[in-house]
Amino acid sequence: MKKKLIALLLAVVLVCTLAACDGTSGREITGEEIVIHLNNTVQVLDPLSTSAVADLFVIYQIFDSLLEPTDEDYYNLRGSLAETWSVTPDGLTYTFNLRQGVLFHNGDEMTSEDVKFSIDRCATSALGAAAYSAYAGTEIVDKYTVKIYLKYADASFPSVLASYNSSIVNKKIMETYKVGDREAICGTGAYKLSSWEEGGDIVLEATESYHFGVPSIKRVIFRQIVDLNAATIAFENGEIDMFNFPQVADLAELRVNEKWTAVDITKPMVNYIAMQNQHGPTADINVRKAIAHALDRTMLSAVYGGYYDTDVTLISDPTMEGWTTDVEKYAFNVELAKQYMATAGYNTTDKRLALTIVVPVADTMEALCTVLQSNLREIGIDLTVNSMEGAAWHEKVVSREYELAFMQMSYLPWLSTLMNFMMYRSDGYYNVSDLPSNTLTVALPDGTAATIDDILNWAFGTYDYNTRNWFYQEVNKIVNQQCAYVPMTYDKQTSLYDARLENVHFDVSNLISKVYRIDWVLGD
Amino acid sequence: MVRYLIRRLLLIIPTLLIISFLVFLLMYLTPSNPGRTILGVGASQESVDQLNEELGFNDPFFVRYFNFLWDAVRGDFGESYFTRKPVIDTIAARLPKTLTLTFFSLLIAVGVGVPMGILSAVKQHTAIDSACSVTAILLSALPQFWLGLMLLLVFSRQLQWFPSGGVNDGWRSWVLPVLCIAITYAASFMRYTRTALLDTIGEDYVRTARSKGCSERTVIFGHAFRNAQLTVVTVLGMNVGYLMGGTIIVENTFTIPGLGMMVLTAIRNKDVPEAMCSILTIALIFLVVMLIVDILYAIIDPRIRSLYDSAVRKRRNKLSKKEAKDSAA
Repeated sequence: MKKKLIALLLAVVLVCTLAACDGTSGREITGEEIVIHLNNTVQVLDPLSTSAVADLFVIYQIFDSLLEPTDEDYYNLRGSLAETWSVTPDGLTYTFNLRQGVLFHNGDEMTSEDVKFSIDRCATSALGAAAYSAYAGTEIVDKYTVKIYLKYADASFPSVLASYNSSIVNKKIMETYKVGDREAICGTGAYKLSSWEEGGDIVLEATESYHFGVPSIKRVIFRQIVDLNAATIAFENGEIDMFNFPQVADLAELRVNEKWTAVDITKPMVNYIAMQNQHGPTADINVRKAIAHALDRTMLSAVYGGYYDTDVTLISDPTMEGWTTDVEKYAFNVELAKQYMATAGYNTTDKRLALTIVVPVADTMEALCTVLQSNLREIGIDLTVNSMEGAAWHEKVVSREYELAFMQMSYLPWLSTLMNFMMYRSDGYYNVSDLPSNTLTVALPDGTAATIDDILNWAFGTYDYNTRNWFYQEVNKIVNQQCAYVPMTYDKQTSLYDARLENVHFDVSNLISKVYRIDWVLGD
Repeated sequence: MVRYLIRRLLLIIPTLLIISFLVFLLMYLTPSNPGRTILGVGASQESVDQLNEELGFNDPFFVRYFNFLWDAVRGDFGESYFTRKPVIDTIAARLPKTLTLTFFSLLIAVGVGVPMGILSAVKQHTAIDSACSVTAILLSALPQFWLGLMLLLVFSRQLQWFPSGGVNDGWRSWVLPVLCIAITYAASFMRYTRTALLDTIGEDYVRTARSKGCSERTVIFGHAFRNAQLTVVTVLGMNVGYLMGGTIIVENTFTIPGLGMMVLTAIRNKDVPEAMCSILTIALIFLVVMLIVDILYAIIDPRIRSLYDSAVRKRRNKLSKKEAKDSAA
């Protein structure tokens, strides 16, 4: 018995020794392969069926749109599948001349038929319809020319066409297969799908005839590692070359290593508190201003390990049309907040105000609410937290059944107009400017007074970027003046990658734009 | 025995129906909005409503449930709201990984835990017994997420013997996750085996065997452990069932795309087809495993086998008596 046990132990030691001889540390970098970490499971690789970041990482490599942004700028576009394009002065007709000889990954040539099919598909889909509200139809002029008609001028339409939703898909394939089928993942991008193991690696291979040149990296592996501890170890071991969004706790140690390059990006997403301004105590602008001045953003950021950008004055960001710094900042000032409360008829002793905030259930909410309660208690507001499941919270937000509500707004720059509508128009989903119309007038250059809805309508059809931007800035100023919300923080994210990688670009949505631009720079 | 088995197999059907109804009801009662989840917070309400309509999410509860049942009977478990793939394909891709993880983990756990339990029981009140017991208590007290992380830090980060996750590296990919489960379960098997064996070791028939002059080996393995096996088999069966959906932590830590992660994600996303199909798969496996455990009972213990047979005999006698009564009437 003893001999058998010893033999067993020896066998285990032998196996471990053999494993050690063939360790994983020595993954050879050939310059032709890159392994990119994804912190979530990829679910669907159809540009019109997802908005999940992990999915988009892969979709960006497989599909192309008619237009694409030039180096992180969604308002300065260049042709991708369209070689040239033009728009009529009334802004109602776009003409696109397609690149000739562009092949889908199955070998079919991309033609006007595919473009019409793809754009029509976008316009009628749940995910794309909102951005395509101005779309009237597409006419096929010839094999390589299409005309797209709009019902009314929409200045953001070219940006919509440059978005991943508007990727051009293969008509024949999409009519034969359905979304979710492996065969349906067929684009014109620099990389084609080679293999996709359920929940495991997704392998892309470079296409030999990409219209912007053959990529130097021939094989892209997307590795799905949900547990960030495991991902950190995989990155340190060299099992992955690009590590997206490590834990804050690991960042300090990872940053100092010269083997890796760290890129910090403020996410185009702002956390804010919306305040009921139609009825109840927060209909009084003094209460709203008191809340805005009572919020200590530094403390808020500190409870998250300082990994928040607190320099926030609008529920918008610099990538969005209408961004301006020419607004009141509502800085942390407890005394001023108390004064506003006193003007509204409240104090910190016998006339305290009781308010409720609705928040979705999330890990980060507890700390946030603790800080909020602490801040507001000081100015005489007793805050009750109503924490609810995501869908229930949405219902409250949509029906505006709240006094205060925690909100998050993610920006998609190509949907600037739509975003501004959602935030500020009286019928917008996120409307935070539902204020009495007599408080919302502004003198426009032509001398007219207008409500926010009118300004937004004018901006919608204005093709001149500066004028349109001015309209949106005016809206932001008015809403800020009325203190309809309290912007709190922007989320930040960091990506790390092997320092030998060059030309790594992150677009405004914090996705790698295109891997085909990346090169390995290896020494001799 | 055969009749008993057929009866048990048939019982699986109503059990699964009850489970499916309960799960469907719970999913229905929890607030959810798959359209909103899929399209994100930025999508318009019209788009969300349109997608919910496309997914059939707006139909009344019983319409949805019976549609699900009708499709399931025909082998169509529907498509995931998110991946748009048939959920049966996703389960087919993920189940083998969970089965592999479960099989090898329990193989090692039983292979280590049971002998340790026997050794501990046989050497009761000795240093070996104390060492085994303390080790077992220590190992079963370790949280699995911590153990997984420690294994990763030592064997993947420091020694770099094994990859940090995934299943792309052949057998090496499985070593750490299997060890992570096996260590905690071995401790549990050790404790159950020890307790069961100590119960039987004091029985009269064991004393009789010893007095007959049987060797200690025959006494322990031929008489005492034979009866203690029932406990081990029960625990093994329960653990197989549990591990089908209970490997979430290990799957998450070691990036194993198995069934546990799928269930968790499906429930979180309110992906009804995926949640229903995966939970029913787990339930089915659990029921089948428990059936196998019952069969093993009969194989291990002739008394139980005779009970099964006598139950059938009694039933048969009852029926023949009833028939005789009817014919007499």
